[in-house]
Amino acid sequence: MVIMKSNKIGVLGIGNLLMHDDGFGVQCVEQLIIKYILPENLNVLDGGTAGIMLAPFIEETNILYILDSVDLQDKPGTIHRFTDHDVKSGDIQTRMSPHQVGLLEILELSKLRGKAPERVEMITVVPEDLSLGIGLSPRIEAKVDEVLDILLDCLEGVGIVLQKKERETYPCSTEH
Amino acid sequence: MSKKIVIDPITRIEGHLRIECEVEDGHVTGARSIGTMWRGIETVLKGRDPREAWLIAQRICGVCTTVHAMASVRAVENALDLEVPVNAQYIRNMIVGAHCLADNIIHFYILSAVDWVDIASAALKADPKKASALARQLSPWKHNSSQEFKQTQDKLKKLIDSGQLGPFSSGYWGHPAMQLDPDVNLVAAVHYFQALEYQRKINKVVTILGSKTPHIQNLAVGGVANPINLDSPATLTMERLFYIKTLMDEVHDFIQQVYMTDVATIAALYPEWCSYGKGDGTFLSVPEMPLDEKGTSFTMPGGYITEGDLSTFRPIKTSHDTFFEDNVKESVKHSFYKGDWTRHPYVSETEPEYHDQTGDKYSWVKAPSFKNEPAQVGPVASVLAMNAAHYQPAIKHTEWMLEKIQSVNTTKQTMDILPSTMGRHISRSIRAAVIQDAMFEQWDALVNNIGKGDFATCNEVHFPKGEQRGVGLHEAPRGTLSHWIVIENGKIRNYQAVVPSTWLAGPLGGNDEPGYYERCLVGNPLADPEKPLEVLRTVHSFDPCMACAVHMLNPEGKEFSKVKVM
Repeated sequence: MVIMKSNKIGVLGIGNLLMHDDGFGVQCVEQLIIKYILPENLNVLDGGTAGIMLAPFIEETNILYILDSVDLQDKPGTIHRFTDHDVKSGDIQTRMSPHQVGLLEILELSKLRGKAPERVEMITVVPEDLSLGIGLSPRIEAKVDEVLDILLDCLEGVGIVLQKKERETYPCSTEH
Repeated sequence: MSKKIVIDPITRIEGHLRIECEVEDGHVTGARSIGTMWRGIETVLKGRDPREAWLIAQRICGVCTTVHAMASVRAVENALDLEVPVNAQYIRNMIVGAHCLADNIIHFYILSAVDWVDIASAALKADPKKASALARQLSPWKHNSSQEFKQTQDKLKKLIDSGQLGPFSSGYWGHPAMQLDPDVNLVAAVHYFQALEYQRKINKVVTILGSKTPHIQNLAVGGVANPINLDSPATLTMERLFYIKTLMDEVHDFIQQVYMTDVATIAALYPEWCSYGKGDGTFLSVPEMPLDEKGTSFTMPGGYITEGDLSTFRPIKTSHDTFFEDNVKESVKHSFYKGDWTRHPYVSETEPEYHDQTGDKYSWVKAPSFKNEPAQVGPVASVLAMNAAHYQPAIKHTEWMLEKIQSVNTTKQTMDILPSTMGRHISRSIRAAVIQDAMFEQWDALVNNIGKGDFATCNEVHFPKGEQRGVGLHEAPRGTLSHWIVIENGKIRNYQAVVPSTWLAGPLGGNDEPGYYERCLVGNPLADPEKPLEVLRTVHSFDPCMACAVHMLNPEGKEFSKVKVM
């Protein structure tokens, strides 16, 4: 693969923290921020359920990784990976979780504006508990590290090798 | 013959709303507004530390995150009678303003414009040179060149040729109610694409001051967590403040020369929609942008108006005004909650009890009331209150807007058009201009105060033993928002959020009076029941964001918007 130095890579965690496993993507991103040193050309965002408001972040990236929960008929905890092309070609249902109605629309809109990322890859997990409340169910929590490992592999593929911090810290600002 | 139509869901952003209409002879004769998801934020907050409530409350929604954060800290401060340093008020006010502008721009261009603007007509029938000339005649905006218009039209043509309409696939192209000239459609389409750019610029102000969007991180009960130190690059410095000013300047022209101008033009060319969608005349708004530590003086006035008569205006003056606190109630007579009661939010409960939607109880949304009557909240209420209070910036921008409409359709315009389907868009744009002026004032005030050597941004919090109650008021983009908290020995005992979409999308109330979506839909024309564009126009004019009115997916929830004629 040709690696361009000017690549701006984005990692976007999506989900609602108040609905247990729906917040999976956000929890993954939080762990990434706490545990790793993030280089300049890697933008990481806890996108919550912001829909159209995420357009600016998405348009600033060339390669985008989306971490999320997925509404598929499969065993809870199963990890599914796909690209934006898979979603459009009808391989899976377009509506993946309650907040995600707008994500594909944003990508379409960004494409029209000539600002869509060249590549979008989604790493998702099938949730177990979508009831109201904070925190992941144990089976899904155990998947956070697994998804982060997959993400780290992906990032290595595009030339970003993340180093662990010596001490886990929470940054005071994640302004992008 | 009477027909029933069902649209489910009707929102274009988060959340779920179902509208059922009775239609006879091309007009809506009755409507039911049904929130199809349950929101239970209150149950999550019980027992927690009031200082972290805002962090959790702002996760109710991904679109209106800052507004719930703001109302939540204000509720706790109100309960504790806690003062807030003026620097913190100014910083919060700028976040409130910037968030509102971003939200208004998105609402009009991305979520509503396709109800009025025929993208296919813009793509296939418009003349980019003539459209560009028209745009330049309407406004001095710098990005109205014929090249820009040509480029946009080419993009749209390509999209239509591809058969994949992407973001426009939900539009009713060629619908008989689409009345704009192809060139006007192209003007709006060009600005649709530009809107995202300016929304992003003003949202950057929220990011800088709030540390992050979505979900700001800089609030604290008692103030804000932004340290001000003019010498340290890690804090709020003059350099950052001037960057914020630059962003505000760039958005300024867009608001008046593009957003307000487009709303005025479209309103002028759809004059009948300035009378459709009217509700009766009870309006509620609260003051916004506090200027002192105690929340006793505000930039933008708010209050209560009855019978659409501005002389009945009763201002809500301070954040402790008991006129507001005493008169808000919620009814669950027609909502999926246990019992049949009308209660004050401090003692309100959220115990779900689902029935099918055919009975007396038919929505997850509660029905709020003010002085035992439903009240219309939102930009119309706010603009009317500011005019009634003789607030000069509001008078100035209202006059500008009415004259602009008049200059396009040469018909005399008065404020009577504001409480209507189109009037809600007009009011929202007037309020955006007022907010913008206020933001510049807040910026000046902050810089002046820092210049005097006052760097304070937060006061300390103490929770006394026993019980305290408080309400946090916020005039949010969609209207009056209030968070109600009961604290007991430093922990949350009860928490209720009475949100704008609840005031508007609510079902029948305690006295069986209809909610505002329900009453404003009656009398709407409807040319083709299979394509209920006119119903969408009226409901979208309220800017429904149902995620906070209700929350959580209903297992029966449908995947795509469906229209059923029965």
